[in-house]
Parts: sequence; structure tokens; C-alpha cells
Amino acid sequence: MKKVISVVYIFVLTALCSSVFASDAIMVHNAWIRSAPSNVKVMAAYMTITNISNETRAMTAVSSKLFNKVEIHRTEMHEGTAKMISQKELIIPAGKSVSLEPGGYHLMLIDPKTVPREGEQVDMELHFDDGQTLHIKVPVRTGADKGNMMDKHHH
Amino acid sequence: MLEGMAMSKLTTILKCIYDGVMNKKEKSLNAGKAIKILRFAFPGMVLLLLGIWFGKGLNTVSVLKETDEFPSATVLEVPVPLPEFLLTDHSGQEFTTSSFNRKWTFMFFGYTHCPDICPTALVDLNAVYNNLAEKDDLIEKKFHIGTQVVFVTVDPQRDSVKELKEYVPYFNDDFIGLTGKPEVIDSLARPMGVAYRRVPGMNSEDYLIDHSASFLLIDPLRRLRAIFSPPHNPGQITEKFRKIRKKFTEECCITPDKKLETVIFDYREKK
Repeated sequence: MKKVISVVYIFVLTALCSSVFASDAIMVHNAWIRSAPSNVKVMAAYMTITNISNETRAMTAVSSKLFNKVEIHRTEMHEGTAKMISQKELIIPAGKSVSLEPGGYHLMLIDPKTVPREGEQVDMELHFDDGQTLHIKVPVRTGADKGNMMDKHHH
Repeated sequence: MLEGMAMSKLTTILKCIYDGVMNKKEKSLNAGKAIKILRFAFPGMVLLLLGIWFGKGLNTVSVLKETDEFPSATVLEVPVPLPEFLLTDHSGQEFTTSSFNRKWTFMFFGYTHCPDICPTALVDLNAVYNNLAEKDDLIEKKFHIGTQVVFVTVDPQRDSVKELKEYVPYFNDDFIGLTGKPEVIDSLARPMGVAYRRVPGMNSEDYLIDHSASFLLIDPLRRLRAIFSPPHNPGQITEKFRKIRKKFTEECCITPDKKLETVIFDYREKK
């Protein structure tokens, strides 16, 4: 029961905290970039993309002025070994959400002009197969909240 | 969703029973008695079924608890001794097999050009480290054995001492980054089942590395003791680590008046 309450609590919390970006077909929420040391050459962005239209949509490309290149990747685990697989596009079925999260789908942000710091917002453009572009602002966070939350549940 | 289905199932079942009982009632010669029975039996059945349904709900919770009981930790029955090696830490100091003495070590193999898994792993290890620090539990009380976190690069070509010095302490000042000759890193990784393989990119400087994403736990006798496979849950890893350490302390032949170095010496003699 406690677990259910905490899950609901987390949902409410996320709903309150995160900004939502939407076109008439696509909604993006919970977007964040993992903060990283100032010498890194690659970073990762995560988010939940929801297709609120009646047709399948595909995210075909992502761009950001801050990064030389952005690629869609997926981390796959094979017997404990992590393998990154580059994705040509990310399919979002009609009425469904696709989550980009640590250890799964993510945007690989390559070659930053400067490494954004925690608390900064990064402008990004998501391009879709119907020609639409969604502009989003993505905050930089440590992403350490997962561990803390788990710990709180345990005690 | 599931609850909805269970609820509609429940309603159907109740309806069937009710209809069934009502049918019987009609056929029954002693209708009055049947109604009396029904008056008591029906709410009873509802309660019983609700109980079963609710009980199932409780069951789901206990299954969740079982998953919490850590499926992704493998404790080795026969710990694997580390080979002799010499690497360089991110401050330029030598780091050898003996650097594992008197310490519990969480070891992770990764590289700084890794966008997803490595930062995630280091953030998780930081959470484990902080969990221990919060409870003043980084140092085991009985034998005064500390805890350290070591990040070994599988990409020494790009991860120099300088790169690691900027990268590793970002996650935690106490963490240690190691680099060195590729063959030395190989000789350390292979016996512990850590695999990695370079995946070519557009040019020679632009490549990715498939690599083992597990945390390795090295005991104070410099042996691989446990493997934590991803996905990692810092809270569970902390608890499991405490259990492993407690068991080790209880079972180990060491007593407070017998120094750990002697024990390591004993251990080597026996080998």
C-alpha cells in the first residue's frame, strides 16, 4: 500500500515539476540532460515522448546549437554487457509514449561547444517524419534522485 | 488496468453466483428457507470474494518485496583472487594489487566517452557511497576496514591520467580513476569476467566500446566476492553489501587481536 502511495506521489511530483512541450501530435515531458564533467565529449538526454495523434509518428532527427551532432541511441544489455545501438528513427505509435531513460533509449549529444552545467537549460529541436519540429528546453540535472528515492522507501 | 480487469471479473462471478442461487431458490420447494440462507450467505460470499481479491492485491505487494530481495547480485562461492598488476590512478600515483588491502572495493570498468551507462553507473555508485557515509558505515567497525570506489578505463588510448582527473572526482572526490597499459587493464579485467570490445565509428578517434556494466565487489583479501549486474538500485546494493560484509566478518578467521595482514599472509601460505 505504501508503495502505491509513493508511486502516486512520484507521479504527482513529476507532473508538478516538469515542463511539458507539445505540438498538435507530440507531447514531450520529463526531459533532462545528465550533468557531466567539463571535459566530456558526449552527454545523454532523456525524456518521455507521447504521440497524441491517431497516426504513427517517427522522430527522425534531433539538433541542438550547443552540440555538433545529436544521435538517437539505444543501450542494450547482453549478459551484463552494455552495447549502444544507433537508431535511424524513433517510432512512437499512435496514442502511445516512448520513454528515453538511463540504460535504454537516449539521445547521444556529441561534441559540446561548452559542457552545460547543472541547472542550465539547453535548447533542442526534435524533428518528426511529418515535417514538424518541436522546440524544447531541457534542464541539466545530476539524475541522482532515483537512488535517494529508493533509499527513502527502504527506511 | 489489471485491477479493473479483476474487478469486472469479480462482478461477473458475483452475478453468476447470485443468478445461480436465485434459480435454485425458484426451483426449491422451501423458498422461504432458501431466502433466509441467501440473506446470510450472499453477503458472506461477497466478503469472502472481496477477501480473496484483496488478498491477491496483498500478494502482488509481497512479490514486489521478493524482487526487492535482489535478483541481480551474484555472490561467488569461491572468490576469485585478483592478479598482480600495476596501473596509475588519476593523481598519477601507482595503484597495485596491494591497494585493495584492508578495503572493500566497488570496481567498475568504463570510459569517459560513454554517454549513458558510465555516468549512470557512477551516479549510482555515488548514491551507494553516500548511503554508507550517511550511516557512518564507510568503515567497518570491528576490523576498521574501509570502502573505496574504483573506475577502471577500458579506453586508455583516450582516457589519460589528466582526463580521468577531471572526470572521476566530478562524481565523488573520493573515487579513484585508473588507467595504464591496455594489456595490464586486460589482465585485470579478463579473470573477473569483464568483457569489452571496441566498435569502430566514422574515424579512428570516434568509436564506442561495448563493455560489461556490472559493479564488482572486491573483498579485503583482494578477491572478487560479488557481481552486481545492471540495472542497479543503490538502496538494494547498499543493503546487500552490508550483508556480504557482515557475513565475511563473521566467517573470516580474523579476530580483533589478529591483524588482517596476518590473515592475508595465512591465506597466501595456504595457496
